[in-house]
Amino acid sequence: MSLPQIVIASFETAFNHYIALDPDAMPRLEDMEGKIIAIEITGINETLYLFPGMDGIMVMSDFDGEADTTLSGSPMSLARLSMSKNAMPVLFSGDVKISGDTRLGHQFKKVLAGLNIDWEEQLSRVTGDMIAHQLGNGVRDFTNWFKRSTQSINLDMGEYFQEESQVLPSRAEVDRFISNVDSLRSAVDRLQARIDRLKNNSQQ
Amino acid sequence: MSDDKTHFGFEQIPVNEKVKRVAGVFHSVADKYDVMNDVMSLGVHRLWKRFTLSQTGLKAGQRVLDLAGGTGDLALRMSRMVGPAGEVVLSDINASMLNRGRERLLDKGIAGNMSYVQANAECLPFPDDYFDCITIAFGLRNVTDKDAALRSMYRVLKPGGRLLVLEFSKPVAPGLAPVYDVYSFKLLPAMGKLIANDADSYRYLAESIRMHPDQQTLKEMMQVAGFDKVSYHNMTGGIVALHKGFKI
Repeated sequence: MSLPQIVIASFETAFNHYIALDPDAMPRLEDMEGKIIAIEITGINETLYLFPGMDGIMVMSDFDGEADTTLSGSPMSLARLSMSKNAMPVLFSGDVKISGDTRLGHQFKKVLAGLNIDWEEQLSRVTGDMIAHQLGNGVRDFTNWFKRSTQSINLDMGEYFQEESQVLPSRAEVDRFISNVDSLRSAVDRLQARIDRLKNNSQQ
Repeated sequence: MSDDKTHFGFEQIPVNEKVKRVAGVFHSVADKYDVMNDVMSLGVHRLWKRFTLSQTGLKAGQRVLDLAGGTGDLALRMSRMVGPAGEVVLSDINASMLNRGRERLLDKGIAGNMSYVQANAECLPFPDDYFDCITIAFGLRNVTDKDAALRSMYRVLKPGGRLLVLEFSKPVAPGLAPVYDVYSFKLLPAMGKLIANDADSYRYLAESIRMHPDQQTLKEMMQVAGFDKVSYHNMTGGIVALHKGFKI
């Protein structure tokens, strides 16, 4: 046995509570009923087997059978895959590999990434609509303000370091520098090749 | 033990009475069975069942028999594992338990790939080579003729299919046995009285656990019935064990 059953059982309960917060997610999971998705977590050498169904996902740490699709990757890259709307960058970078029924893998990933939880609605069950809406407005205002402030701070700081104090180079300068380094590397490679050829010639 | 006697807990009773007496126990505990399971095992029975599920190797479209399935804990999850194209047969010898199981599964929206059969495990009413997997969780010890039951299961399994027996066994962890004795003979009937108002039934449960064959004996019984590659896995210090055997 790998991870203790109790850890897996608790994880399953928490995970299903989380999924249940989005009422649209369950029907999408039901389409995958009867399929087995293995998640191979490299680094800690654990494999989780997920059995999606109409009332959530059953999780096992150990399964004496074959999975329909296997997603393998490090914990971080798997988390990135499940959070990001677009799987392509993570998949093409080779951080996460899908084997077996790749369509199923994508379908499952889409359900996770598409989880859309209406926190205000969840809150309203406890506090009632009025308070939940007020709090929701508060949170939205705060996040908007926070986003705007960080954006303008970023801009101001960038401008200060690049233009005023000239500690940091501008984007264009960096690009030019990088491309110069690239051509220098190519030139060195060519020179190396030429030296090798001359060496070979002189030895013959 | 003479030929026409068998054990009922620590009592000796005529063979033909055992079915009736066991039925009596389960009729009387059916309603509180789930609560009692949680209380008696401190919830650990869920983990034992999880491990059992992980050993089924079930795939979509397969057919599985859950014997002595009681209130449907395993069947519920297996129905999801085999999907809409598969089939789960929940079977119990006891009508009260089977009805409870059916109600419970229907309430959870499990239907379509589930059927219910009241049957005696010693003479299963299914064709030869029919199931991909058979599970029997905490049921074998209540069967009068265990050898006949194992043979019957072997018959209805497909070649390549497997039998999983989850059952109480002999504690192997050092120091566990005396604690376990006090627990099962003193505490268990007391809790049975408190929660289900039925100390006798729970005393029977505790006694029947002691009369059940230990790990090695059950393994040999499965081999005699025809099973191959028989193995067992102890859980919670051997208080329960999962036996696995294949029909090849």
